[in-house]
Amino acid sequence: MATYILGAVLGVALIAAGRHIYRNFADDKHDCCGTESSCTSCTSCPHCGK
Amino acid sequence: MSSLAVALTGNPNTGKSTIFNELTGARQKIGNWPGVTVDKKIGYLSHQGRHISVVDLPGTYSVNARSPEEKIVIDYLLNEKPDLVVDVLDSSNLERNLYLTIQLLEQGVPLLLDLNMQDEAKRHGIRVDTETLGAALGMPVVETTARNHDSIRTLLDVFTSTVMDKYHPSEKVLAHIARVEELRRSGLSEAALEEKIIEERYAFIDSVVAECVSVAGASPDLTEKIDAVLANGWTALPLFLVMLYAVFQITFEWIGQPMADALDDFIGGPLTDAVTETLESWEVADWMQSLIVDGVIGGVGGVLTFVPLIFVLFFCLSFLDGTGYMARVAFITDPIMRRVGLTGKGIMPLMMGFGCAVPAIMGARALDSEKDRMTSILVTPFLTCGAKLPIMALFAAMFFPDNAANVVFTMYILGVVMAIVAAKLLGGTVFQEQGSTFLLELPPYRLPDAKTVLLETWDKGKGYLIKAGTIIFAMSVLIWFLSNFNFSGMTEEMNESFLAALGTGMSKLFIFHGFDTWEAGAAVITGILAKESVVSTMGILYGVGEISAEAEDAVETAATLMQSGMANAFTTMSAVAFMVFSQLYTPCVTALGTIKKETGSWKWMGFSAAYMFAIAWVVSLLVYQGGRLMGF
Repeated sequence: MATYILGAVLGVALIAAGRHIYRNFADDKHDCCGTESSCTSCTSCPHCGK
Repeated sequence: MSSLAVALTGNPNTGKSTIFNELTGARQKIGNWPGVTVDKKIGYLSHQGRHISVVDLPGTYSVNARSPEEKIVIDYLLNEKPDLVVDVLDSSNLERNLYLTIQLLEQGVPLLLDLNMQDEAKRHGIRVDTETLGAALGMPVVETTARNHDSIRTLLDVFTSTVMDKYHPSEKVLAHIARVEELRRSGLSEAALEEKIIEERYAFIDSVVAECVSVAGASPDLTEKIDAVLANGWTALPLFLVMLYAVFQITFEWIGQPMADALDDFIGGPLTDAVTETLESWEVADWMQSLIVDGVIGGVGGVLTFVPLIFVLFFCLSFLDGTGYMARVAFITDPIMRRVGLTGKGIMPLMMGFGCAVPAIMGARALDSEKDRMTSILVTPFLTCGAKLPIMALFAAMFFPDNAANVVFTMYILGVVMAIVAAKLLGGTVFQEQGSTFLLELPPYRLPDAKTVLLETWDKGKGYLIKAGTIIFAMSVLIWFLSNFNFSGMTEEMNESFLAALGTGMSKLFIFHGFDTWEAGAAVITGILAKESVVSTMGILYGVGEISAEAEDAVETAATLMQSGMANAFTTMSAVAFMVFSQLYTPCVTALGTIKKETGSWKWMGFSAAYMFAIAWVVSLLVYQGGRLMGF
């Protein structure tokens, strides 16, 4: 029984991790980029203008 | 009613926008840092029966038309031809501000000089003889303090009534322009010509400043005294290296490593033991125990162990940044960067690469020339980002326990050297366009604000905690699955697993490097997905949990826990070769995606992945074989 419960917990954690990774990909975010303070020197992209 | 078109130009942070707001009643955003205005703004007013339009141009240090701001300024001044151009100067820093003035005069732009920030200048004991300055340059000169209404009124009166046709460049200016023209005809190479012209301009500025600026009773301030040592031509670079070395000692010997060891003891000892006992008491299936202990704790725990090192390193770098020292690094490294065809400005995005390659690659947008930007993007991933740090720390602690900090420092230096070498090679082959020059305003030295330093450290470091809980966790489960299963189902023998098959394929590339085991090959593959995965793969494959149980009276550090497995797989030399390879090879997928986005090209992304792998392969081969030849 404990194996199934732990399996379910791990499964939920994996889904949450997968969702986080997918959302980062979809929103073009990077965990290791820090907050905006790391990117204050960024100017607009020469290709897309954003 | 006659009309008058006036343009405000000048260096960043000289108060142009304040003057513009005072003149036009506008509420344009003002900041006390450079670069607040990034596009031109237009406002209108009427004075002495004239309808006046005022254009506030972006602040710029030069008019080489390389950066977007410079292009806006030079396009407007040369094509729109306003009736009057007011060059707003910071009176307390005349020498630097006149550099733009002289460039505008070389372009034939008629100017009215506004010596702004008089209050600042007076505080520093600086007096400017405006008549002498006007005569030296052949142009009208006004003194203002931007927030003082009376002085702005004076400026308005002067430029409304000034007839610029009455003013002509002085003999001194004409002689300077003639010398510059002569240099342009001399046939010098582009780089040499640019250097000569810069020298000529500063010689001119020095002679003007000597004539009309006096400094009364001012003694060098603290910043000047510190810069006399830290930014001195002879001592700057050695002191920079000493400072970096001290940061590594603090991180890997004095503070960071003891904290990492304590965390490692806890994860590898009490935590693993408690979880194992609990799972056994709950009668959890063996495979689930293995997944949790070997997979999740071995993989995620293996990465979490190094989080103290990452936080200590980022704290040190944020502290140095807060003191104003990191801005000096651009100047200190400028001579080296010039030798590889870049400028000191290029060091800024590279320094960001010590945290993470992603913002560093994006930060290259701030560079002026396409060559500088592309070169910076392609060489930044050579640097040791925070995700590579655990790899270096793990191997250094295991194979060089008495010299871990020195070994990690050497790997960081190797990354920097390879970035410089690659920049030189790319500059001589792929990108042959001339690099740019740069001017950067240096902030004064100050004691960093503790809250700012801590927040910045947290901002940078927390990403690794989030990654440990998400991508590293998911990767650890995947690696555990791949290392425990094959087409027949779960296997007792890791050597027969999916991961062993993948790792064996990759390991064929390293038969001359000393680390041609399938485990090392698998770590190289997972490291492309996320660099931390190299450590989590090692943690899982070399069985942290099992060794923990076997080690009866050993001190359970990362070194001892994985020692038996890794000591069998690596010799000292092959460990060094693996560190070198991990330091230099293909960036992680996130960095590759950013390169694709920033270059707008799959080709450059593929080039980056391939050339870095090739360089890493060659350099680690040379290190391993060279070491063996020397008897190591």
